[in-house]
Amino acid sequence: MSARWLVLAAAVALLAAVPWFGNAVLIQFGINALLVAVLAQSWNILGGFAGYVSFGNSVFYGLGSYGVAIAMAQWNLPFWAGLMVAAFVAVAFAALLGWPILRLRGPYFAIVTLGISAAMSALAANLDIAGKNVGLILPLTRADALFYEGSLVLLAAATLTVAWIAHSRFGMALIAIREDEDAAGSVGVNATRFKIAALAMAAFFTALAGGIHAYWITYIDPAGSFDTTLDLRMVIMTMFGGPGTVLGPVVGALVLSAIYEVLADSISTAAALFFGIVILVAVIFLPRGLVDLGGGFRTMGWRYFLANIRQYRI
Amino acid sequence: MSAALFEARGLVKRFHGLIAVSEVDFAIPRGAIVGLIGPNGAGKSTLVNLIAGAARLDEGELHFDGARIDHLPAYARAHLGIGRTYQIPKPFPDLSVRDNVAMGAMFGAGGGVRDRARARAMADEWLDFVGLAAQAGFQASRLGGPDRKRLEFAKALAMQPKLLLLDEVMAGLTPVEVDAAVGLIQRTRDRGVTVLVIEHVVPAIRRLSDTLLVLQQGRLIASGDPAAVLNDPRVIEAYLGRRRA
Repeated sequence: MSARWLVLAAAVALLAAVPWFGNAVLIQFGINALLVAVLAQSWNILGGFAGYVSFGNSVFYGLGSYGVAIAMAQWNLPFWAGLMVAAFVAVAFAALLGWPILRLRGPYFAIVTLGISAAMSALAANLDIAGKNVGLILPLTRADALFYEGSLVLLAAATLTVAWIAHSRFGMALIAIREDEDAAGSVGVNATRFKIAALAMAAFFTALAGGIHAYWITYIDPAGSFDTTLDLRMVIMTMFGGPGTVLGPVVGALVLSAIYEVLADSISTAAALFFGIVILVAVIFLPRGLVDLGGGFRTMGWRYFLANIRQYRI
Repeated sequence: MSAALFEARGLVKRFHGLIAVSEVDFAIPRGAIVGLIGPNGAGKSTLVNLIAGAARLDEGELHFDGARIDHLPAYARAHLGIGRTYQIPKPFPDLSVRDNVAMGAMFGAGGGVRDRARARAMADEWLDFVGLAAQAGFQASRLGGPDRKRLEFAKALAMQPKLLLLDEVMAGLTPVEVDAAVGLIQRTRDRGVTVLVIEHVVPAIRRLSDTLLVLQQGRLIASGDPAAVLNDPRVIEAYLGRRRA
């Protein structure tokens, strides 16, 4: 146990030190990877713990981006005030949206979230305050090291929140919903309330990530902010790392970001193909995610992979 | 406050025009064990679902502990003190047996206990009570049929209900296991829990029940003292007739 904490502390220290030894390219890669890890970790709250697969969390990312952009570019507010606007709007939207759509289950929920994510970019493209199709330009700040550390702090906060969830009554309620929602209701779990709270927490961290990203790249438009490919990346990275675990989504996001970066750098056009193969192999051999590998391999050795294949009948 | 803990008045439930439960009235006195029998498809499980809130009434009223509950969702009825088991057990498959039962303690009546460690300690006591203590650390999906029924029982008990609805917990058990289950239900009542037992195993339910209800094609055709009810010609014809003929 203490060895595990030591490794974790060393990893965090190493990540925090990147701006001191890394070059500009590494820092920029780091900002993107950390922010996408925040998205995966946020998605994990409802998707991993409660088993509700959302393809619409990019909506909160977009709302966060636009919240900061509108606050800074239109209202001349400072960045921190923009982040507060972003978080408030996203959480309020999640609560309003959750009330009707979290009554849907399984594929119905997934499909509705997809639709909402597509509708939001059209909405932003038609709002004057959001700069319509053109988008908004934010004040330029050259401080990549700060953006990097800010993203790391946000990821740490999201991960600590998930660590709390994993050990709380709230988390047990989400797990009960994932395991059997009818049985959860029978033992007294108010499923709708817990699901809305989970979605609101996801919206909070996702919006902050969107806000940081908007200020960092200084320019946002509807297609880039309400980017539905982000939804796929959140899902894939969480599944790859280990859904419903504390560190899985972070490990999954960082590892997959790194793999993709290396592939794109070395073989460029074929990168997407190899990336697909990596995910396919992971789904077949590691259905419980990368973080399950350590414990599973220690107890079962190579049979771990066979057991996975057999259990999930792939 | 009336003597009855639970009262059903004029219950009607239709599924796509088919009547599953029709004009059913009955009361469950505080501290009683009430048995409910009936042939397959008589509407027994539907009745449990209506009481627990898993299905909505089309007509009628449900009164529990002095309040009307038919507008409440399942979780709210659980908070008031209605616990249930499922005829086909519904464990939380990926969780340990202990955590399954802890769920009951953590949410259950009055919203349950907030502390997870305490809920787990309570779960261990209930597992001991139903004879499942040795399997506490098992993953629930690895349990066999009879143990799954015991898990359902422990999970519902951990909710600390005032009224416990047992939907065929004895079906498929061996005679020895049935005896154990009868003892468990009696000891549950001794702890102050009122019990509605839905069952197929007639000898067991005759021994257990203070009052027996008979459901046939959604209608309550007899109710009262078990021995008298089982000798009622309508009951014999409807329920046992084929076997005795």
